[in-house]
Amino acid sequence: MGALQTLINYGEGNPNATVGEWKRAGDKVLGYWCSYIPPEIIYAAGALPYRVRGCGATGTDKADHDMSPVCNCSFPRAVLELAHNGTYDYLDGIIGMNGCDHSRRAFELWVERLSPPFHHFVYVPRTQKKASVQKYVDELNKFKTILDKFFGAEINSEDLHESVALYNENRGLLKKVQELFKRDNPPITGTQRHHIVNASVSIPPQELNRLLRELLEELAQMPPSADKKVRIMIAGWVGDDTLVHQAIEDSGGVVVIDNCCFGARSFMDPLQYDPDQQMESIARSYLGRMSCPRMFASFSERFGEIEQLAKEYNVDGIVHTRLQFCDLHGIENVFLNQRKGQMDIPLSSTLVLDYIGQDEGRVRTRMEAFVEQIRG
Amino acid sequence: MSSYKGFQFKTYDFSKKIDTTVDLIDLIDELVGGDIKSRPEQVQWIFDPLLQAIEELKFCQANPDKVVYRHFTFAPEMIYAMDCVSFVPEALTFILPTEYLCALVDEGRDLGMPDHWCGFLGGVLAPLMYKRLPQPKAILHCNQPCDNSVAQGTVLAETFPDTEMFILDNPYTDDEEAVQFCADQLREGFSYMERMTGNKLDLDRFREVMKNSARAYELIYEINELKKVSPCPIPTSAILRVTSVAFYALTGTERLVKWLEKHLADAKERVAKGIGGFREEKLRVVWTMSWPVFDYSVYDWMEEEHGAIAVAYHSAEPFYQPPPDLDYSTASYDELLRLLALRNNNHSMGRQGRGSLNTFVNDNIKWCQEFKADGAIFAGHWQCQANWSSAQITKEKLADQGIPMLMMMVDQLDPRVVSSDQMASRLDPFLEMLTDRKMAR
Ligand code: SF4
Ligand code: SF4
Repeated sequence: MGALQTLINYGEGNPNATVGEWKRAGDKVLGYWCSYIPPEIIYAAGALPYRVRGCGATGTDKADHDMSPVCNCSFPRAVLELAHNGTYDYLDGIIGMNGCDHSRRAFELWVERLSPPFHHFVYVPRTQKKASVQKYVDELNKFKTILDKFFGAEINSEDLHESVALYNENRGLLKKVQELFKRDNPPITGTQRHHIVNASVSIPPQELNRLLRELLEELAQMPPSADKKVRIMIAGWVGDDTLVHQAIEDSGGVVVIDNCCFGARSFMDPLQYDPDQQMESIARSYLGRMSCPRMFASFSERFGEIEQLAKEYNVDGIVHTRLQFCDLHGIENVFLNQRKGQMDIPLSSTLVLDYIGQDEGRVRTRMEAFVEQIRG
Repeated sequence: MSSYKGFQFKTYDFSKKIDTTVDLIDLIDELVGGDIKSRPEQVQWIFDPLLQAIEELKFCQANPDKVVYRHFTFAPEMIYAMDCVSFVPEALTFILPTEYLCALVDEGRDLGMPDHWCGFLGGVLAPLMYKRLPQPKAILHCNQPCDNSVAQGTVLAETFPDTEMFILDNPYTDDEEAVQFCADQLREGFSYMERMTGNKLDLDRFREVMKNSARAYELIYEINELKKVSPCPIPTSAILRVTSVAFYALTGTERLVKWLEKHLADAKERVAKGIGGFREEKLRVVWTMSWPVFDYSVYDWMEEEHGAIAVAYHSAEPFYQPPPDLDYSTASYDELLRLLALRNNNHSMGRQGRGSLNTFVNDNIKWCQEFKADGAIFAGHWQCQANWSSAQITKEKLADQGIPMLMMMVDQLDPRVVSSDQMASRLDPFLEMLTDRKMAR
């Protein structure tokens, strides 16, 4: 099997096959909730960082007992459901943070109801003020100390240095794959790329680098796709799910870029690492990279990024999404709509999604109509 | 018609077209201020904090260069210390007549606001975006208690792109580190205020404001202690609205201290005479989370029908201990910052929202035990995600203590979502059950 298919398989699996191998070797796997928790530190401690996802959940009955489905986002509920039904029993611990209210409480409920063998909460500020950056540095140092204790061995600066290098290589290689989408006829689909990104947050970083290098060679040999497609950007949040990508691509579009968290946001900016100020540089870099709406008053910045990416990738239309009950992406919708006149690109009306129990027909109809409207 | 078992609740007329472009401050002054001033003198004092809040709104209207926007859980003391006046957009949703507020929520939805967005913040989305409110000189915001507040920050940043904002990152924990983190940020906040307003921080003024603030908390603490007496000397509805306005908006002022002194004296007199609020106390309940801002007569109904008094409520019990002792005449800047940090970290609603669910659980258990409650009522604002996700565990932990809890969905501001009579119909069997349990004991 080639690298492309291997990565897709890893991206589709929750857990993927590398987890079993890792555990068989006697090593630990730590789940983490959000991309503001640096996997570099977890990996430096000797554990496999595994970003928890909701894929594979078919309902949310157990999670709903504590998290009302009337107001809570279905993504964290799906993750919590998987924890309840044992899917995440292989995890040696779980790391939470204050991404949004839903994910924060889902983490706490996981701890409260299921008593995982190890858990820790990393507080991540939402601004880059002096005191806030310092607080994040302190939090990361605390995180490191707690991991040292849990693993019975200290993460030394060399371990962290190597881990950062590996993850930065991941990002660089993923960006090269991404850049192939600047071409008129990219060799793979946006759906395939989304699987690759899903794989990238849950497999060992060396393995990822090896596969991505192989993939780039494979892609260099592949013929470009035959027909000219409508070039779409997804802005907002679709989680690790691929339905929206598929719906767009089955309608004659291609998702050439996104600004999503399971997406470009996780790899576009390399970590600006300074070996003499390890934690400081990690903290600054995470707080300052391509942002998520959890960061305070950051919409303008993101709007600038959307405009720039849309230009770079020669985008024909932007699909704006959010999951139901998401306040953070919800307000983003309002202002993206307000500013759409500033861009010379059609913007879809907001596609509100449910992570669980999605009405697939509605999503397909909406995407078909949008692609059709652009094609004219 | 909104009635339940013969009890008449407030009614609304949603058929009238509301002109949302009117000056909201004038409207509040005329309708709410006018109503308070028309009440008999012996009850007028109760509403003084509301009048003070309205006067501040009027001041903002007349003095645009003194206006500092503030999130409702950012402690106002910093603004008073800098000799400015705070304008809290969300406060309008507390004070506005219900029909207007609902029309504003609808207008926000027309602008694309998600349906589920909490009306506290959503109610002012349209007035902000249409620039119907005063232009701020500075903006103090924070990210507690919930994602709605973070989202509100986007609204302010987009509405006033030329006004730099100061944002307080509210910590997750309650330890000394969290207090220090907040204090360090507040130091940055004062520099920001000096830069934005051109005023220099006067340490003596800061001392005076913090002294007033601490005194207000001391008084509310004493008042709360009296509420532990049976019968509880303070009726639920009359004071709830005013106390919440007072603590969300006016701490640091001398006028609030005077009001609380009167409030305490009144409560003491009632305790001495052995009288309760309005009606005989048969049940003591803790009311946690949201309260129906649009119709306080739900509490009258509870008292009349079941003798159920809400002896403790989440949003009017902001401090849990009396503030630390400090000699304010000599207190250092660092000591004052620390006190202000404590104040921010313990702001009601903020405290439970920003922290772990255990804060919510433990606060509720503490209230129920200390106030000797027969039961607890979690009235969860339907969009209030973090608190809804804490409620079930709270219910279970209270059940372990033999205290039943009702989980009831409400909309704090909008009776079109859950009306007063619907609330009463949910409360009725629960309160009946509490009565039966009490009788059986
Ligand atoms: S979509 Fe929004 S609410 Fe859901 S997990 Fe993400 S940030 Fe939280
Ligand atoms: S009621 Fe809930 S959702 Fe509304 S502001 Fe308060 S914590 Fe936020």
